[in-house]
Amino acid sequence: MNAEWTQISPQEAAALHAAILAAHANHDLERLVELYAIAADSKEREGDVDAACFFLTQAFVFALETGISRAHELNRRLVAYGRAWPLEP
Amino acid sequence: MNKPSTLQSVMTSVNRANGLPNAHYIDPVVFAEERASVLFASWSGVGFGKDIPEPGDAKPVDFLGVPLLLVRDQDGAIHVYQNTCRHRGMILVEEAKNIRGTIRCPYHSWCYSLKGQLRAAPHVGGVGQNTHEDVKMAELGLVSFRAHVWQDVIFVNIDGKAAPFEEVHAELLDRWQEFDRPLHHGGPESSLKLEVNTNWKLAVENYCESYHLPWVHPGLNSYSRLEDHYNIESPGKYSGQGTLVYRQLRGAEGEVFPDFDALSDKWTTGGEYVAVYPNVLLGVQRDHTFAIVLEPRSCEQTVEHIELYYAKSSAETPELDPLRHQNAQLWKTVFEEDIFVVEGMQKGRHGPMFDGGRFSPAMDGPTHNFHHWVATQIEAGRAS
Repeated sequence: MNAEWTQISPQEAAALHAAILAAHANHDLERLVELYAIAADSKEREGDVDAACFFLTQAFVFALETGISRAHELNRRLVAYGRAWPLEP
Repeated sequence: MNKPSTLQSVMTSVNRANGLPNAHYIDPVVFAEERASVLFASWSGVGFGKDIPEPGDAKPVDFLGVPLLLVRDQDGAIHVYQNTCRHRGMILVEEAKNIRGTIRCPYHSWCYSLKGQLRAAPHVGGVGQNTHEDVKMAELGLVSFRAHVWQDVIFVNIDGKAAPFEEVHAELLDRWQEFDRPLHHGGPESSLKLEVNTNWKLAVENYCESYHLPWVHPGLNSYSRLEDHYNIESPGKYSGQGTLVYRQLRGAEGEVFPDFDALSDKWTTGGEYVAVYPNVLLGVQRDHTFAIVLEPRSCEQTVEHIELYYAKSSAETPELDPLRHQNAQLWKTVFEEDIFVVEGMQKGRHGPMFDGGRFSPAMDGPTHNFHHWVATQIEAGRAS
């Protein structure tokens, strides 16, 4: 998945969707964080804030569950959109 | 429901008292009453610290139908939560596991920290909107039960109304303060689990007294005679028995377990075995201790969770692993010898003419002490 793309093609979107389903099936939480964040980035570039925040939320929750520090970065992005309370340190 | 029988005949002196009536062992209605007045209203054992040894470890426990979650947080502190999401009441954790970050509800992914705070309520305000003015995160943490860990047993007060553990058991904590030091669980072989067809109280009652030892545990007679034992009775708190002739187990080469540090002379040949009301049975000796949590599964079914602990860990003393194995087998034999009596007393309580029984004034004081406490708890529950 190329995060630098300004927009993802329908084929890329389908591949992302399949990868997310596979990660769910494998309970691969770190991968879910990564993939949902890619989806969020894509929607953000498209200017679709609601969709971006949906995917950011998904990524944030799995980052929280795994205890990885990226939860804070994802939270900050949601807070910037007024979509979450700031996480306590 | 019939009017409950009076317990006055229990709450008199051991010389004249009867034991608790049959209904307290075979009637599900009375079992439900004891659940509230005896087990939820006091400090009950629900598990062991050794079951959640690492930060992030979580273990679900069903205690008399209440779903509990035992959690060790990143600071090492143990918490007991209601294992129920504050959103839709979903069970949060189904199997023991290590939680790296937060406890995530598998239904709508509300997330809780190991200290119980609600950290995220995803999409609670709509898609991609994780706040709502009427959903106060600070008010929606996990329901936390008062918990206290002593001798590695996790005690919980479900109804939240009991006096603090340190206050309730101050006398016993002082009596055994010499054993208030790190305990090392003996490993998988030092965990025993016995499923017995008996009311949980009969396991307490049998444990309390030494009267049965020469008859049920003849193997102990050679060195631990009846007259070498003494009763331990603290009205309203605990009871049990002590021995004056505890003898260390010796291996083939004469090896023994190392002692706990700085014990007084009393413990050179002393051992004490106490029921911490309602459902925890503890034993202390110079070189190892044990803890038993009685899990009342139903009115007539109990699971005994037995754990053995030592002054030094297996990692520190690997050469003693065979002795630990031998010791576990010895205790397993003793505890299994008791099964037929607790199951037999349970069957006997279906005899409708049994009146609770009469006690030996000399030998049954610890058992009567327990009955008196149970009766007091029940009467207090009925009066409230």
